[in-house]
Amino acid sequence: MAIEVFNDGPTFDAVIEITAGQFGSQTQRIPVELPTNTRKRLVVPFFCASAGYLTMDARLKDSNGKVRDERLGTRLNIVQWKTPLMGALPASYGGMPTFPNDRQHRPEWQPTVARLESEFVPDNPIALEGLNTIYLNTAKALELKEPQINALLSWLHAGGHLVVAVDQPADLNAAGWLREVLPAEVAGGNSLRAGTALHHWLSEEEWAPLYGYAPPVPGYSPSHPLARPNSKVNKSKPVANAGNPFTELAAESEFGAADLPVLTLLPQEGKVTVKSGTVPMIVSGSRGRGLVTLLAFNPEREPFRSWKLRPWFWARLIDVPHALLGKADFNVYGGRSLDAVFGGMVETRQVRKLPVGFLLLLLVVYLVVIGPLDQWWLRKINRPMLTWITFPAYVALFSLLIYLIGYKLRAGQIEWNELHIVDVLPQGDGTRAVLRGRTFTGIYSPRNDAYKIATDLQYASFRAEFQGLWGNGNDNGKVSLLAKPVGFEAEVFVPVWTSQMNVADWQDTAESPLVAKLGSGGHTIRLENHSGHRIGRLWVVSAGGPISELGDLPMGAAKEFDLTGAGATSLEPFVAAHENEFQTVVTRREEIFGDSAKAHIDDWASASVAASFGSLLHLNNGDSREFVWPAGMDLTSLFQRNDTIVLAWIPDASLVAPFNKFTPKRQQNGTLLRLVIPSR
Amino acid sequence: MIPLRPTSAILRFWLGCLLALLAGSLAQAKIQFDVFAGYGDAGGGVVRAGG
Repeated sequence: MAIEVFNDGPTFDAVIEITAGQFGSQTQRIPVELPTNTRKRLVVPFFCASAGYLTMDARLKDSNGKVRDERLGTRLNIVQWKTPLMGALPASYGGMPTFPNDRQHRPEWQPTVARLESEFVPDNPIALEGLNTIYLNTAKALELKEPQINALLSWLHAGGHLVVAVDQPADLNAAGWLREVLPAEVAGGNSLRAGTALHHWLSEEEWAPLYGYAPPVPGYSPSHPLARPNSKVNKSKPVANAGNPFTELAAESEFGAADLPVLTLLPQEGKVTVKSGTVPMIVSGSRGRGLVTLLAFNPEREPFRSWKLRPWFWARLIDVPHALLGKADFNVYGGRSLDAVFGGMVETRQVRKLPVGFLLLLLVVYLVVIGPLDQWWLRKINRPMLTWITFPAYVALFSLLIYLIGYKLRAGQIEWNELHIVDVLPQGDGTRAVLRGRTFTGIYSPRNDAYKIATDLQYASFRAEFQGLWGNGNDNGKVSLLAKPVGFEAEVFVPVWTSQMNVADWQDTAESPLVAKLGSGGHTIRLENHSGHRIGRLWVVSAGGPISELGDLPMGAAKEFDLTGAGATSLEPFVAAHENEFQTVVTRREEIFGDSAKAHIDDWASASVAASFGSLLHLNNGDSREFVWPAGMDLTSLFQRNDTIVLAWIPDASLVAPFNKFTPKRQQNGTLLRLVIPSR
Repeated sequence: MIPLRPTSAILRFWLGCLLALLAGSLAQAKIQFDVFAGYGDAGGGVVRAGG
């Protein structure tokens, strides 16, 4: 959410209050100092928990709480969780990428391009995570300020797909940061007839860009309507390529015959994706978990700009699933939140649920006692008027009994649990790293109380548990968040004898807690533990292959591990083995009464590893019970890219200061480090 | 009645002007408050469900 405030009146301290939706959802407050004649722009990340209709209310208040201005009911367009969403910074308005838009009659499934104004490009990398791809024209790259550039590069290394078109080769001299991440060197230009090559690529050739923030890949379920034919699928069950809309596209002779100005690209680490004869037209290469695609031509200039198949080119470039480009109807089921799986880990064990059978029995006994039994024995002793005393006595007695049952089942001590999933994104030579953390927190409260949670990490945000696409999508106002320039302060209200799960998203830069280096041939891996704690369990998913559990790594130790040894299993069955447990836990968490057994996950480590490959989770139960997770949580597309993935479990420790600003009586925490070594 | 000295009249005139200017600028003082929710601009921004 971008906010711009201009104050030409007297100086005052303002608070901007943002509320999403009309149902008392989480409120976020941002304090801003507004001196006279200043214009302030700020961008704050927020989590969209709604799948249908969403409006935002923003109020500008002064320090006395008086509303100075407000913007209520700002309507947002929501795209489905799996719909590709692209941000674009074109040099001109007419150069905006477009997608074929006459195909999909449901707007939420329409692949969408959002035009980003250069002054409103977020300077917070977490706020960019909703975008799968960003198209950047070098003319606009020059307008970006340093914090925005840092956020963009951070987004790229964490898993984004950056598509770059060069307006003037000289732009790259001024934007050295961009030149450094390009997969090819840009030299002088010439012009050639490349229309046929582009059309051939569009309709014939294979292209499956893989990067961390790629829309979830249901490639493992070939029958899934959004399966991509080029995804790596179980070879025995190839994806039906019928209805591929790209094969139906007729070539346009005008474009084929036109001269297209192109730049000479000299690929470095990148792969040539499209070439015309021997001239590279599109070069792409991975950067960290992300991908950079460089175009040799400017798609905003003629003749490309007038090419009838231009929308199809963009759809192909970002690998839009065929179903979203076809006219046939399809159904995608599912939409349970993966948060609930982590909830099953961090939730307190102090609360037990009342079995439904027992509750019904209690109700029947109560009805029998207050009705027939009371009448029978009062008639027997011939004192019917006594019912004025016995009846209230029964009510009091049963109320006490119910309280005692509740106390026995649910009363406990204040508890705080933290599970950190930390992505280690190495910088430079790998000694320092950006840490992108997702902290799943669970609070149990023995009374009605509000609890303070805060952090001073560089970029941080806090949200309530996401209830899934079909849930009520809000937290009923239990979380109140104060966003600070660095970190946040939140207050969470927890009703008596209940527990609540919340999620903190954060990013910070620190010494790399885990350094990994692959041996020649990828058969060995050398790991160094700089986390300051003992790594209790270690898994390595070797280049698109099996997962091996490698034992432990003491604090400060460095060790070389053999990846060809015994004990390696295929990743798919390893993940699928957790699916039934996950489904049971999620179902049990939704029930108010019922069985307390199997409502929790005790092995945080291996469950967190399995939950890191969400796209592989529906091998057993089909697509109807699919999970939903925020961008970057799923590592499947990196596994498909043949990257090596290291997962290190640090038991009972955290790399960051505790978020709780209260003293719990019980506490448990753990950290899963996730490090990806890109394939070359 | 003591006649006003010319300097005092000029002083009062300018003081009056200054006060009027200040009052005018305060009356005109306004806050411009714009909110852009979601990605993109025209016609409402776009967001992803569950992201």
